[in-house]
Amino acid sequence: MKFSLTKNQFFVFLFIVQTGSISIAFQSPIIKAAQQDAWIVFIVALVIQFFILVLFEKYYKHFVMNRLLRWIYSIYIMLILVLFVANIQKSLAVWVFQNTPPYVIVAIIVATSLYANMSRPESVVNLGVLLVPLFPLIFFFLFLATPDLIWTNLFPMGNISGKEWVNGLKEANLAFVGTEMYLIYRGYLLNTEKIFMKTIGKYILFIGSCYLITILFTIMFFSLAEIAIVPEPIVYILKSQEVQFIERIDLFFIIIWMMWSVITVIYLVFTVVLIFNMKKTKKGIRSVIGIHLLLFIIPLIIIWKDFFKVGNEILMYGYFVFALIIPFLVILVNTWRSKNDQKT
Amino acid sequence: MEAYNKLAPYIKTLFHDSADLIVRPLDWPEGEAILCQYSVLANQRAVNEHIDTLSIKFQEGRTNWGETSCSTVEAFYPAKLVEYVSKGESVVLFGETNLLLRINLPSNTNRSVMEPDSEHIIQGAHDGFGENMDINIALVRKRISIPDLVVKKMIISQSSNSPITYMYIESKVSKVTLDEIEYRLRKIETEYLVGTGQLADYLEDTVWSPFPQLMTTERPDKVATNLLEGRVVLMLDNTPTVLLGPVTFASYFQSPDDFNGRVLVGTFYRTLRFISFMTAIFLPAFYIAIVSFHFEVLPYELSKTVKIAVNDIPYRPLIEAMILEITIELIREASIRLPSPIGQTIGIVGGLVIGDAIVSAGLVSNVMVIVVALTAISSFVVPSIEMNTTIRLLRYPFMLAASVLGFFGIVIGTIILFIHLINLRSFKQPYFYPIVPFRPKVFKDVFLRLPFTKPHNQATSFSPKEPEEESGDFQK
Repeated sequence: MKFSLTKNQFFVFLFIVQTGSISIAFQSPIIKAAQQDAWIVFIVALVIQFFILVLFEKYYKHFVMNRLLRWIYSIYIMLILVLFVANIQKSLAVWVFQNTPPYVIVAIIVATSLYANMSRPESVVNLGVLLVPLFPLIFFFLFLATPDLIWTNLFPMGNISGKEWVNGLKEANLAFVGTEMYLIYRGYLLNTEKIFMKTIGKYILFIGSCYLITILFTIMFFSLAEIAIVPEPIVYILKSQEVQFIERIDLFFIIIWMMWSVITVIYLVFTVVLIFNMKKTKKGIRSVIGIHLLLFIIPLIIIWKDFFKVGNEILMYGYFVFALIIPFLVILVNTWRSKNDQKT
Repeated sequence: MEAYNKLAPYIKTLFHDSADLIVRPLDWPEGEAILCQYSVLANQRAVNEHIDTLSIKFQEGRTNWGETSCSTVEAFYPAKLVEYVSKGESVVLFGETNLLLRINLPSNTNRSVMEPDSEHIIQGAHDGFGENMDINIALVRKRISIPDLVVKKMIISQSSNSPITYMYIESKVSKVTLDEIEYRLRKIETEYLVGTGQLADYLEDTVWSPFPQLMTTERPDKVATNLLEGRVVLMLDNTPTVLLGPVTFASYFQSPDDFNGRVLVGTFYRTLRFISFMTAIFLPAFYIAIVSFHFEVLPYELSKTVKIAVNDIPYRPLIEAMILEITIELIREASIRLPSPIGQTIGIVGGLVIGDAIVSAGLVSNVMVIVVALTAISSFVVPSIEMNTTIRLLRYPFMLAASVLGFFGIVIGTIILFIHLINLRSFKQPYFYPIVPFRPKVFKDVFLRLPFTKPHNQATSFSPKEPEEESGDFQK
């Protein structure tokens, strides 16, 4: 597959993969870990994320994947994928489909992804455009809750322990799952497009603001004791809102989130297809179908055996390994090698 | 008469002794002459007068006696005779000199230039194409009187011998697109080419898509505007419908009225058409999803009314919607086939009487009647007939998805529809441009009818000069 991306396509892709299905669930763990200061911890995590992307931008050319790395990253992305699909099914079972068997929902999501990944690469990557007009709607719905917010919930500020800081930062990483996509896709950017520190800054500011609003709303809407028992606080906030023309705006939010999640699944499968450079040959098509078969079976096992907690733990630590440790090791080794080559 | 006696049976055999074929000896100043023509295609009076004029010129001994704007002299070959006569020309054979005089004076059996029934507008030109290709070309040339407007002909089907004419503006058209069109035209292998629908099948990128990838129109003003935007126009003889390509999804929502009216009014109605597209596809599906799965979305007062209306209906919402949708389709189809006064009556009878009776009989709820009626009206707002039918067709899978999976079904359907639209190409140009590849500046022009005082900002739904590399699209 030979293709190129514009800067806008690249960042929209990254934004969707990073926000993906985690956007409605990551607030609770971070607030549980860092209490009322979760938003401050998140800002620090954002700054760290900014510097990680800046470093990625500087050294992305040295991130060259060999066969082993391709396999490792594909397995990791597949792991994210199966957890995403299982989580989507779980949320839908709670909010919309209480009586529908899990395999029906999983099969529909997987079939949609299969159709998309059988299409042209440009069709897959451009799917994010569908979400652009829906995105402001989420915040429109959310801001309806402004009168119910208790701003004193934010106090006392800066009162958490070092351990809570560390745990908070660890949990904040959940919001940035998929950072490694920067390295995977950066090489596909059009030669005419340049990314400066300012561009990365704008991106971090945008994604950070979106996340931060949801964290602040959660802290100000619920007490800390309530947050401990609410897994998806944003949906609860919306459920409590009353508007004249719609009784349950949370359902509309769930619809938008469903779309968001399905597109994230499509994007992640596309990344695996891209890593292995699967072409539209018979073998390539068989491999794509194989990936989707796995994507159908494994989430059902996760749902059946209730492996969600283990899965989320793996995701959190996986971020450190796959978005930080491995990329920087590869970059270091390749930089050292290229310097040696230049000398010889 | 010797040559006539020898040649006439042979010529008649060539045309299978057709009843409308005229093979007749002519009075000619020197030697024998035989007139050969189809009586139904040639303007016999004009031909006779022309032959008289030429015979005088011949008698005067002029060198190029047969060369005029509608006649020429060339060597006689039976194949040529068959070709010219079949086209409607009159041919005079000179047995002794082995020459052939062809006279192109066809009978005037064309209807007058009228406004097309399927594309009415309020303001602007009210002329439309007819069945004669020359008149159609003339209607376009009248509007774009520049030498850059190129008209080319290509014979596709050897059996029907009918030419395809394609027009473009040399300075505007993309070379890549033009080459692609010519390549596809050359690739057509068919015995008969009878209509634009058949031609579109051969030329379209994805024949099985519900979306039209070539626009059809009968309006010369629309053709002229599209030519100026760099599109290519394909015409067939004997049909008033022409094809335009490459097109984008957004171009189906533009009407000449937008540009003939005021800026704000044009913008309002263009936006309204996009809203109507959404309503026409999603409204019945949305209603079915709410009634079948998500009643809690409705405010209490409204939900009470809907519940009362739905409670006594024996069928599921999908069946209820299908009954009404199919009834509306039947009414529509019946009113098209009938003469217009009766067609209107059928519309009123169908809409009011059947609608009222069907609710009274308890087959469907009155809320469903409102939903389906609104949907039907919305689907007719889009100014293109093909997009109209596409929209009407698309709402059925969405209704089915909504009845099975509620909002989730609509979401999945929307994603699939979106992927399909992004996948589509019209002569290898992205169909969903400027949404994908996303061009913010052009995107706003799709919805807004901007003033002509800023021509560089005016909406062109297709940018032929923009190279693929710069479009942010992918290259394989």
